[in-house]
Amino acid sequence: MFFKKSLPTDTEIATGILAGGSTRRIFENILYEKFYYLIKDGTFKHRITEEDASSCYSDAIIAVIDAIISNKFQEKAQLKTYTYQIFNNKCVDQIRKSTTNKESVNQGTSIDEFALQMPDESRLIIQQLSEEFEFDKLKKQLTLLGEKCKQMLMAWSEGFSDKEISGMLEYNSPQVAKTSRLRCLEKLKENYLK
Amino acid sequence: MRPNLEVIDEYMNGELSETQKQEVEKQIATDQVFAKDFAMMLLAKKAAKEVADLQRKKDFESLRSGIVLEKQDNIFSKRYVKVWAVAASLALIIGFFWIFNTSESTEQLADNYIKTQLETLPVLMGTEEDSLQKGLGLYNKKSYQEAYAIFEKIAPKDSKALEYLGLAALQLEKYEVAIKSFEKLSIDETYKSRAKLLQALTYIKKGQKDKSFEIIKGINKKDLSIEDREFIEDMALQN
Repeated sequence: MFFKKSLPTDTEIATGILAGGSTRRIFENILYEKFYYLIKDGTFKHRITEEDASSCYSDAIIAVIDAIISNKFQEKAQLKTYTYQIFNNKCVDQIRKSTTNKESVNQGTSIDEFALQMPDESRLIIQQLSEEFEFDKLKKQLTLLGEKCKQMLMAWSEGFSDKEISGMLEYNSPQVAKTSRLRCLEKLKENYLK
Repeated sequence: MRPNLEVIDEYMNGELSETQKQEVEKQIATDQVFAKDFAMMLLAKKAAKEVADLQRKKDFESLRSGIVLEKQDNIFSKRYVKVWAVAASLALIIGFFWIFNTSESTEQLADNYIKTQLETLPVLMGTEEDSLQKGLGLYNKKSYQEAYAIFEKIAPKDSKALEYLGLAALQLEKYEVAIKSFEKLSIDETYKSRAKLLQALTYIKKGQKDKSFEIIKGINKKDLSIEDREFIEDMALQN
């Protein structure tokens, strides 16, 4: 007798992702697999290649994960509907990009969403200073950092806590992970200013 | 006075009191260097997120390849059982000759994996030098015998050391010790898939390819890094 493998529910997936550490990665992959069939739908509906649809789908899953982590997805909508809407938008963006070549347009460096919550005066200063930075150069310097520094800053940017980072990258304690992370940021700053 | 980045980090993580937050916001308006550090930190986080997303997309792409292969397997098993049974018989005959003719490439795959993935092990950063790190340093200098002696002492208490003990044994061609170390390591759920991969690798070096392929079949690829997964997939193609 055969039983169909039952996939985790929306709540289980969201809880798994919010659990952080390696559990988060496992549930991120489960989320990817759960609505994987949307790639095929995208190729038919938007008439884009499977490769493009797959890329849009990955972007959509990353956006859904970000929404779960930042508590923007609060299960008001079904995870399937939510993913489908984002995926659809990504496909439309992809079509626009390929038809108008918008990718080559320099869109400048916008400040992080985080800064939008700051008081007007500080936000404007930060916005102005951000525009003076060469974002591509900073990104390039980041990729040139040592592997462990790079991994740590990537995990930090994805919302992993120092406690989770210390577990994932085998540091002795969250405090050691934090000190090392700040040291990596100092290093990045030095390299950028060289 | 505390370094700027530390204060900014705490501000960004919401770890400051309301008064401290206001002080930071005031400092942004009055201290140009501090404000620049703040902007740099925000952009660094944004840059890191873009790099992380790109990496994650690559991971998802590998996952997708796995799903496609799995689906193909299902289609084959459900729809074309008879046709595939005949084809499989033929493939078996061809495969039989092929294995004999390609035994060198299986060895080459294993040697290549050892050379690229196992000759230099990551040394922990930012911690004081302990026995594990000392062993890693010796291993990376190819002083396998000395590294082996150190890992042997700490392996009973430390899973990581147990893995390194197996690796040092593998490099010293002490295959039985390596296999036993990886077998013990596979009891720990965290290291299970990796341990099985290393066990399979050791069996290839020992000349027991059948045993190796048998182990590879049972490995859960999802728990492995991209490089390890690629190696397993290449090895599976050899079977």
